[in-house]
Amino acid sequence: MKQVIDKWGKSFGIYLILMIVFPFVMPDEYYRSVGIIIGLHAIVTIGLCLVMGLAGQISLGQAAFWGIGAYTSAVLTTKYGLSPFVGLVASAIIPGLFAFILGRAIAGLQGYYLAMATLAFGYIVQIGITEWEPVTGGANGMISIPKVTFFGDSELSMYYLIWGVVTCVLLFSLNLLHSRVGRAFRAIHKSEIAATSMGIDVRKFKLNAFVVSGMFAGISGGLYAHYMGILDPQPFGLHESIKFLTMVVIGGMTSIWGALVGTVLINFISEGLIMMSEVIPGLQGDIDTIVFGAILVLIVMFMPEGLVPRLRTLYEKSQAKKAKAKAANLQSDQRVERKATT
Amino acid sequence: MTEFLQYVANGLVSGGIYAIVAVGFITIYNVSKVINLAQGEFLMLGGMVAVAMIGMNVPYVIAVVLAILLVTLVGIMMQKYVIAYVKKANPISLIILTIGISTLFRGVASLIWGKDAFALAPITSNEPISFGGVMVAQQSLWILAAVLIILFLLWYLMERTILGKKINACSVNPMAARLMGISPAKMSMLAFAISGATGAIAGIVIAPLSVTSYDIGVLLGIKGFSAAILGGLGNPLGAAVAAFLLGIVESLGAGYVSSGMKDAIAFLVLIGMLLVKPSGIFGERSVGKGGL
Amino acid sequence: MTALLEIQNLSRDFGGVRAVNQVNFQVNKGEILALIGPNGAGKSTVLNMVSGVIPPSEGEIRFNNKGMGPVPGYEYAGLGITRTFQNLQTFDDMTVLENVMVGMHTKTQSSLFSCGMNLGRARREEQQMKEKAQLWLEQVGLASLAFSQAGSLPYGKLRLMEIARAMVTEPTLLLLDEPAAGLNHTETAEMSKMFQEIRANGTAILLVEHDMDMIMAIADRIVVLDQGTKIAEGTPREIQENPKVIAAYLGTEEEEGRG
Repeated sequence: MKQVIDKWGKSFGIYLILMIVFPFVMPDEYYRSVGIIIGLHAIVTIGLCLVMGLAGQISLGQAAFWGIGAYTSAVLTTKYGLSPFVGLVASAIIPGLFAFILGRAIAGLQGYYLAMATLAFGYIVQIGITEWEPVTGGANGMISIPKVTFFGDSELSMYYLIWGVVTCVLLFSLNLLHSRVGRAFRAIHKSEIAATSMGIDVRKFKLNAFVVSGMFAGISGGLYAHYMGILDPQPFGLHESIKFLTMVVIGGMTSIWGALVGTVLINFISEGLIMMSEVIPGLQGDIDTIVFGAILVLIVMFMPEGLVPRLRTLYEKSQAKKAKAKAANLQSDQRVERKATT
Repeated sequence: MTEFLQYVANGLVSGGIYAIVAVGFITIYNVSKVINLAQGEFLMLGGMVAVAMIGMNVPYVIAVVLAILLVTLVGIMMQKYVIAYVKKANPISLIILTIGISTLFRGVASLIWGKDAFALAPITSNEPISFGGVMVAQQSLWILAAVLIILFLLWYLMERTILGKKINACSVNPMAARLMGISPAKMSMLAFAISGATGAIAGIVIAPLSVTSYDIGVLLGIKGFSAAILGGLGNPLGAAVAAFLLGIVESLGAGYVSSGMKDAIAFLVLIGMLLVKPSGIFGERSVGKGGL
Repeated sequence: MTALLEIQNLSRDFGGVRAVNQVNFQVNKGEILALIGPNGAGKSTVLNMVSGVIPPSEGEIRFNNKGMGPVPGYEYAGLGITRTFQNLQTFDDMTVLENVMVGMHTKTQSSLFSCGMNLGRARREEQQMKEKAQLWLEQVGLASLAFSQAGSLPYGKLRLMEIARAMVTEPTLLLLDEPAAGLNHTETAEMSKMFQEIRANGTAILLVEHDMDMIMAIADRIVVLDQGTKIAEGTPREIQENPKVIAAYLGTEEEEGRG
């Protein structure tokens, strides 16, 4: 266990330093806003990682929970004048409820059924938001959603607020991973039969993972609404769900850190593509869609475990090799010594 | 009453398209136990390639044939270079893989053809025909004809030919099939080819009626899959019937409830079905865990 | 002798084929009952029904005088029935220690929330789980491998790990599906000794096994299945001399001899 804590502590230290210094290394407002978006995405993908990598399910509708969270807080604060704090709490609870109902309904489903059911759910939510015009403003969306001003309303304070939430979500998930509940998730992923025979209620735990991921996505959505100040249904569709999926898959489904690394990576790639499309005029359409699709296919084909677990294995192997070489050296030294003495 | 019949007629046409998608899903699933989430993209590619070639002044018939051949080839290559490569992947990986392929196709299409919608000239004139007050576009009749011919040919292939028997053998027991000298890999490739070809035909025949664009594949894919589940995954006939029913329900819902909710209706049917009876109305031959 | 597990007229069909047919037997408290028979006799199917993995087609399973029909599979462990698997079902991406800790699931209660927040209770329970898991790893001789990835362990060690994982649930009935398969002679002997210790501590064992030396050495009673039906029941000595059993086992060998 000590090893685990040591490893974990190091990663967490690096994370904290990078997270805190980023806005000062990149003092440009634009990069701070990119940092904020990465944080918002990370909250969603860490939750998705709990569902996919740990509990071994799939969700192709994560953007829907994100959208429900965003609209919940936006509607409560803008139409009913509630404080953003109340809105944010509701933006965790309402998507959690949706996830509970959907998850209860489909908890017995596996594989493709689950994929299709969540995909369909994503569509229904996006259609629902667009059609429920009196409340959501329909396709035109909503404007003048109040800002969150817990620590002031500068880009920098927003950055730290959101990354504070990311840190909480991250710690929560890491704790969970090395706990009774997290082990139950991982056990289900590897063998439902064995998990059941150890007394784990597979349906209940799958549902739990699904609800937690829905709540994380909802919180992120609420923060997104207050950060942007405007909302329309467009970003809460399949494209975004696939983007979340790509982030989790490239980083490594089974690793919480992987979700974080994947989120940063995909956002950098997106930014790079936007810059490219400004330079190269022929790049019309969704160039990022091609890239995400290609990443998904290539990862499954050549690196199914994902980036972070792969790097970890490589690192451990090189360490083992070093240790072996050291031991061999020692041995040959001893042999030389022995020869010398005889 | 005329209004009702009009909705039913419209529903039959879209239901026919869903039937082709559903049968495409099942053809591949039966042989390789893979649900090809990129199935809908075959339709998109078929329609878009045909439109593009006609735009380059290729004669109509040749453009259509080339489009079908090209998509068939895409299906074969997808099986040979991607699906076959990850044979022992778990269901989640296969879902991610086929979703990735579908995303890739969509992205490439939007890059080549942009995000605009395109219409294809109908096979015969645009003039609708009246059946006792129910107006039916001539193209709708072509669609129905194409659907029925495809369904019949597939049925004939699977039930009445040696090749069909071989495919069936692979779906029932791949190991035994291999011992009999049948290559499951080849049969799997054949299944992808068939799905590609039928998908392309469906994509081409609907292009004149409902315009085609880079993103039509996902919706058609989900609806086809819904029909495949409704009919019981693994049962092509049941799927075809379910697809027509789904098309009619959707058309009635759009007509009487709200046209904006049209797509939501199909999905609600899917989710409702999964809740009540995941094995489908007509029962399921194999448990749909996928990738097993 | 009090019955712990009673199996009454148990049958199971697989698509029209009857794999287990009207089987009756009981496992008494604190005994080792071996279930043997030629390949395809239905032993694993019986074990799968007794452990709640598949429901019986007919008949009843009673545990501690309670019908197990309506009990969902995940409640078996809490009631005192756990099992190991013939084709290992280990959690390869966890450490050996974590694998065994999963077995403590029913002995702990911390909720998702308290685990995520790492509250006092979750921490206390985590510590308890670790200590008990360590204890059992020592018992089976895997203490030095506690922090190794389970996936990197050889077959024999994984079998031991599965036993430790089952034992931390504190079962009153332990179901073992061919625990000695793939083990060498010394390992089998060590395992036999361990089973005897487990029995001495009050846990009954239902053992499905092919290794006759092990069975004859440790089983209190033996039930013999052939083609889904029970053909004999008795002490090891009685079974060895039973002509029906000899025919069931040797019948095949005779044919082989002739051919």
